[in-house]
Amino acid sequence: MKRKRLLLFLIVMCFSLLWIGPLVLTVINSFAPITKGESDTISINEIRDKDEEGFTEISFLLEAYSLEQYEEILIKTPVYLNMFWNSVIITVSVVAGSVIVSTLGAYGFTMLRFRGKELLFLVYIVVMLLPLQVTLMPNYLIAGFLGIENSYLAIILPAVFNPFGVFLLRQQMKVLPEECMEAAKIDGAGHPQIFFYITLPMVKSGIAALVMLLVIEYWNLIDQAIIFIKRIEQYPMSVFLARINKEASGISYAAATFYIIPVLALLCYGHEYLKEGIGLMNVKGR
Amino acid sequence: MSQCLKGNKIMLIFVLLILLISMSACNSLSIESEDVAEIPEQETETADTQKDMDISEPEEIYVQPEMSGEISVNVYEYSEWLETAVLMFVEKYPDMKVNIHSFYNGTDVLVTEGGGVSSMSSRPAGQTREDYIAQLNTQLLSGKADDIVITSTGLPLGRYVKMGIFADISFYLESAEEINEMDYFMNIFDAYRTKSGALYQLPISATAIPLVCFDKELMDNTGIGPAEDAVLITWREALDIGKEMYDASTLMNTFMEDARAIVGNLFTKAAVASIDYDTGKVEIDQERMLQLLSVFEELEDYQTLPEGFDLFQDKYNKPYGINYQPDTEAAMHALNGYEVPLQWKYDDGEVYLSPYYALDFGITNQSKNKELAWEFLRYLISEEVQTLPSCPHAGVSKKGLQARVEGRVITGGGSAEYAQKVVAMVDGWVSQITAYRAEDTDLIQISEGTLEEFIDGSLTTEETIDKLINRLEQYMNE
Amino acid sequence: MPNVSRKRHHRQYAKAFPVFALSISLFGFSIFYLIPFAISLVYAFVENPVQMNFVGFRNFIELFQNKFFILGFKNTFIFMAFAIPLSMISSLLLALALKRLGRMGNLFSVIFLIPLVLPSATTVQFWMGIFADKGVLNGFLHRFGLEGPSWLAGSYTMGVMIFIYIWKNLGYNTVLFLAGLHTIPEVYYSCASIFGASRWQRFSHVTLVYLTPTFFLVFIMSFVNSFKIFREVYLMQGEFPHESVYLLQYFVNNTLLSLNYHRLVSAVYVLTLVIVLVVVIAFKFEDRFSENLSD
Repeated sequence: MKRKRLLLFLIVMCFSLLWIGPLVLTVINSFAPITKGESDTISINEIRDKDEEGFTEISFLLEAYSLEQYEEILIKTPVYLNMFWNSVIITVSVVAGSVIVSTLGAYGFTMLRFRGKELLFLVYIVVMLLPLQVTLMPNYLIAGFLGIENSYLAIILPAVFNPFGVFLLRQQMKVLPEECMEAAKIDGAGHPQIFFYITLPMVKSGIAALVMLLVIEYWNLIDQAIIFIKRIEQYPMSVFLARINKEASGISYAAATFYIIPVLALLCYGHEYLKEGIGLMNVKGR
Repeated sequence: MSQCLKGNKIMLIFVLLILLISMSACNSLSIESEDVAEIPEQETETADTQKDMDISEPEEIYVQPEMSGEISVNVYEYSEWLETAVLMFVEKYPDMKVNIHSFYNGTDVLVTEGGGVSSMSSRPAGQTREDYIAQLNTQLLSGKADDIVITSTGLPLGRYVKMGIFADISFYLESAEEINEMDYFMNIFDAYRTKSGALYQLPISATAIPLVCFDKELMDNTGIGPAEDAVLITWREALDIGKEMYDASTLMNTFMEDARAIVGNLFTKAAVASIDYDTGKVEIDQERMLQLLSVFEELEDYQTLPEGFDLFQDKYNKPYGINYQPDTEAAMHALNGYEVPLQWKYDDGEVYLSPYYALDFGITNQSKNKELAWEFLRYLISEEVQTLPSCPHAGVSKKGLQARVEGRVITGGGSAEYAQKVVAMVDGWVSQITAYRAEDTDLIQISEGTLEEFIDGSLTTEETIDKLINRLEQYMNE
Repeated sequence: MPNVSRKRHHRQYAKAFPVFALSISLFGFSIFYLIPFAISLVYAFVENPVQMNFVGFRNFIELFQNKFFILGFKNTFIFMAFAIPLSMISSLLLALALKRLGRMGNLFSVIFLIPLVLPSATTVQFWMGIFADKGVLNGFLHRFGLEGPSWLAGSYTMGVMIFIYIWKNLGYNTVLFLAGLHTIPEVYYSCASIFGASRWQRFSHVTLVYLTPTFFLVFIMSFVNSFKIFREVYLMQGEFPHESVYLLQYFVNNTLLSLNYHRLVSAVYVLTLVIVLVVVIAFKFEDRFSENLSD
């Protein structure tokens, strides 16, 4: 049995190299000196000079090492740090709000029964499928009506009410056995208690997944930021990184590395929760 | 049981509510634009205007509004000249407030009453032109755009005009008495009018004319050149003379770099001209395109750039077959005595000259302060502002141009006489501007991009034309 | 059902909480999603989004005469038909493998999320370096004396884009599957073993069945993500892509930039209609399966 596991491990490990590759390259490149004015060429330093036939090769060694890039970002131009914190603010607000709204919403969907419930759920899904370009303009209009068009709220509020969270968590809750709920009710628990003490703990992995995926999505927010945010100081870092080719391509690697580290750390921390779903399930004792 | 029904009823009310709200949202939008499109000057005392020059209409007089209020201007990139102009404007009308929203710099330049500027400029975060257009479009669609939008920085103008984004300002222009033939280059204003005579963009400044220049040194060396008294020349003639000079030259470093630029320009013009905005069709004159592209084959035997040539260092130090000057500043260089400049004449005999670089603004139809916006634009073309040295390009005010050209020549060490000569010359160039098309930067980029691929050698002439047609069609259909 | 009256009384009183819970979500959803949807729907019937003159179904008719819409639609359809099933299957397999690996498995799931965390520009540069005509892949083939084709501008381009889509979203779907897998109570498995079920039977009767809601979820999200892959395609192919990868998103993106919002909306709604059909079928399918889940 152990043998099989080991084999599996190796296979997955090899497989994952393709995913780690770009990350490693980025981090390595962040230690390269700043190259100026080469925005037209592929500026990945590590794809070194072609061999005789002219094919590019990937190499993991740089020609020169330096901490210039980090220096530039962290010390010389504080605006990057500013943008970093903007990203944090947006992402944290979105995640917090969304978890609250989505868990509640999913619970409501699971527990209530009324005609048209499934239809409503279907509407949730269909509207979620609409691409951003369609809903951006009406959202702008609505933000105008509400008077929030110049603040982060215009981005955060729609994100908080994104049907994705409700969708995800409801699918999780569907799987939960009803006996638990029934037992609790017999014991005199009302819905709030059931929600907090039974349902929530059981969908922990779902919540973990939600948090992880939301973080990923809103940490890399671009389109809404372009439309709604007018001042450079308020831009999240993701916009800057996306447009890196125009301006400071030299520091993009350090910026990217710096930007990714917190997310990766968070994800590493969060993955633990992915598997904590049913530990409490052994309330079989009842 | 009752729960079910209750749920259902609630759903119903809910759905109705949503429909109602969304209808009213759309309605309010459409009313605004409909209103605005048909009766542009509803807020003012005068009635609407669509035609120009027709004085037999009932007396509509333009009355200068009370100069207090707030207007906003949307530009892609911030410029100091604009800031200076705004400051002066606000000093003159202390009750006015002007906000400039600059996308690239991400700043709001807020000019408060009584002058003074509060602005924070910071490094741009690298947004692209597409981002700008996306933001601007969202604002336009939702009715929240600024009063004035700069139109000379690469917007899809043809489309905007067709959709009625901008207000027709010909009435305002005609009512402004100080803007007349004597003091202004009226031809530039006329050049900006649409076929029906409406004016949607107000040119603040437009620059001159493509010039073709022949290098004097080469002319002396070979004894070949344009005729003594020639003023106009077609590109074909210029090319032929250039080639002759090249063939006959004994100088070491002759080349024909700019011949391509000229053909490129013509190629783009032909591509843009092939589009009919009303039907969305693309009709390329294949013959003409082939003819243009074949020039590149012609030039293959002619060295376009000598080896080891540094374009920035050596451009004016080497003899060259023909040179091409598209803007006033560079053109004034041509009067340096090293070159013989001639004005470009288009093949079909008509002198069709359009501004190469320009600065123009449009007033959006959604604006609630059209009059105030007009007053601001009017101020921008006033003599005061046009005489500022920082005014870009040639301007539209004759006196302004005179003052600036003189200033530049004299600081450059020239004599007052020479300055006069230059003024007369530039004046002559600018007066020749007769046409302008709301050319979409996108179209220009498409044709230039395709041409570049051709020059690179990755496409044949047929492929180039096919690709060009395909790309233009894609653009028109999206 | 025993004790109906007592339960119902109980339930009516306490029902307030779920109603409240759902209303919060519903309220926000309506304001920020439903109403914008309704607003945009209005534009589909308008000739000019600025002048707002109603023209009925003309936009839709014109759409089907627009050869670029047809091209985009066809390409997107093909793309989705291949990319979505492949993506789902591969991430399910990966999730199963990772679950097997326990703790380490969860750590790995983070690695597969890397493409979603890295800025698109970086990953695109990476892949362009590999798939370019003179890129790493062709160089590798060259060593064996093979002449690699043009990966980015030929008949393989669609395949490359599908590959990149799967590569990018593998982590996302795997996380969803993992969460789904972990939510299945162990009890069910133990029950099944008690009844003498074999490994395979446990898998097909417990795992697959209880994964049905997750399947549906992953299916839907794959659609959403296949819209988002546009950014990578755009970065790699530029504004005028090879015709096999001119996806509908190009059309959608460019119509916004040219202020043709009415075209944008009508195009999207045609696509959405097709997707909704598929979704409804899947939904009905899932519904039937999951009816008895809670028992």
